[in-house]
Amino acid sequence: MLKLVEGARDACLTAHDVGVLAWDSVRHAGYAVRRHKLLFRQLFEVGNSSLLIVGVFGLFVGLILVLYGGDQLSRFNQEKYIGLTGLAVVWEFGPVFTAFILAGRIGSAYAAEIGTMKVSEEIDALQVMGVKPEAYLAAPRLLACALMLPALVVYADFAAMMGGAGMAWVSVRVAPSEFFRVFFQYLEFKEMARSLIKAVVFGGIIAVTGCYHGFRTTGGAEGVGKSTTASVVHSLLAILVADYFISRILLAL
Amino acid sequence: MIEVRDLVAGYDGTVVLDGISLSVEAREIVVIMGQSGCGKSTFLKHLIGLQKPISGDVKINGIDVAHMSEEDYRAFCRSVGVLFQSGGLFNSMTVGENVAFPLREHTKLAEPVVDIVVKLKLQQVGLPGIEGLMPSALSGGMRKRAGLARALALDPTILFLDEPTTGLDPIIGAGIDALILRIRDIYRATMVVVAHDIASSMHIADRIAIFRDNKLVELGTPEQIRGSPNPYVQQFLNRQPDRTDHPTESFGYLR
Ligand SMILES: Nc1ncnc2c1ncn2[C@@H]1O[C@H](COP(=O)(O)OP(=O)(O)OP(=O)(O)O)[C@@H](O)[C@H]1O
Ligand SMILES: [Mg+2]
Repeated sequence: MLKLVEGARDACLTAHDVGVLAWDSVRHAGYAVRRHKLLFRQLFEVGNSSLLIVGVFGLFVGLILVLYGGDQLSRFNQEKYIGLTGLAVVWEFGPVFTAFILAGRIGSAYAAEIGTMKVSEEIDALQVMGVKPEAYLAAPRLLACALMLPALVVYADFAAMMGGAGMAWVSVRVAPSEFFRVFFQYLEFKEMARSLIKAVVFGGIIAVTGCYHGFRTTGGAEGVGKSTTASVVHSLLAILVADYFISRILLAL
Repeated sequence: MIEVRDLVAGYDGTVVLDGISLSVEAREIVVIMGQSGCGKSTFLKHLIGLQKPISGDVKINGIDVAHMSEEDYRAFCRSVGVLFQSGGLFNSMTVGENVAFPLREHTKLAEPVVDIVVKLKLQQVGLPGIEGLMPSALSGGMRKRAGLARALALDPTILFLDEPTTGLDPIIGAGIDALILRIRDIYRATMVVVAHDIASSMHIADRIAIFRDNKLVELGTPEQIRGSPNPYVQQFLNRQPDRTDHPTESFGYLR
């Protein structure tokens, strides 16, 4: 019982700290924009390092979805609607899978970078030179993730559609033109917008979680390893939980 | 002028500093000495407001460093130079960029001027021409001195140096001692220096503070410290080991 109370208190404290860090990063977004070199480096890092893997991921998601979807639809002779699998990509698979990839690649790198700086007194050095670590380190990373993730999601969606269209032809003989016609007929603008809003929030979650674990690193190289792992696990969890709540809120609108 | 009153400090739960009171006059060099792990670095981090005391306070020129507004702290940092025990260099930047960092952050100097100042500062610490190297390519002693060059970049009026000469050879170490004295005399800087080397501390210090077991046990001019009746201070100055008669059986088990 006491454990439970303590756990709840710790969770509240953590939530508070994460909230403060998130707010500080947003508050200092102006600094990151002024120091555009810092921001561009982070944007490049996020976009460039994930391009190939996000593309391959998207392609295979498209292939698999259409493979199963085609199989199911052909039982009811409704193969012509196979283009609808694209909607699932836009709703869920695009944003969530891309966010998962970024949590593994970028969030963990943030925790490791900032954690290493923490244990080698670089963060202290930054502070005594009058620079807020939240402004110099967290803000550019938050902006980079929140801006770059939507772009990567569109790109992943595109790759998935290419894979899906190809698979539709191979497995159920639906021409790509037909595939895309159905897809665009049923795709609404607000669904695309919903997907991008999710991407922005997921990007924020990845950056803040990574930075948070970096900043609270203690105890040398071992501590850095722990932070890195924790950042990935926690962002994956937070992304799914946020996905549920955002979906509920946006669907209600 | 730095005033520390009844400072109690520690890390979640454990007390590392217990009721330290100490004041440092303007243009004075106070050297902090004491055994490894007695809280010297922790003390320094409280003086610069990086860590918040459990109780007591630290005032620099009358302002409480732990509770400054963001703007005040930034202005405070402009006049302060800090050398961390590990050097604290940014490993993702070259040495030159490291030294230039505070200049770019706090001044509007043109880039060619920044370059000149960087060269000058590196020259002062005996490392001319290394501005293009990455910190990972430096030896321990070179990292220390590069960190010192960065701490000096803004010609600070208050300097906090955590073991500036530890790990340096005697010649370079003596050079750094001379540099510290010159900075005090030319720039009229106030300094708090953590050091282990007794001869060097006696040479540069106006006053020496000796820490033991979370407390300040002795404070005075080098002469007063030398003549201190405190047996611990004498043991410390004369480099006598603790008499913890290690049972000799505990050696040799692996033979
Ligand atoms: N980040 C930390 N978290 C918890 N305890 C710490 C931390 N940093 C230091 N300590 C503890 O505080 C005490 C004082 O450490 P500090 O680094 O101030 O010692 P020091 O006097 O500078 O030693 P040295 O001469 O070896 O540098 C030590 O017992 C250490 O275990
Ligand atoms: Mg120390």
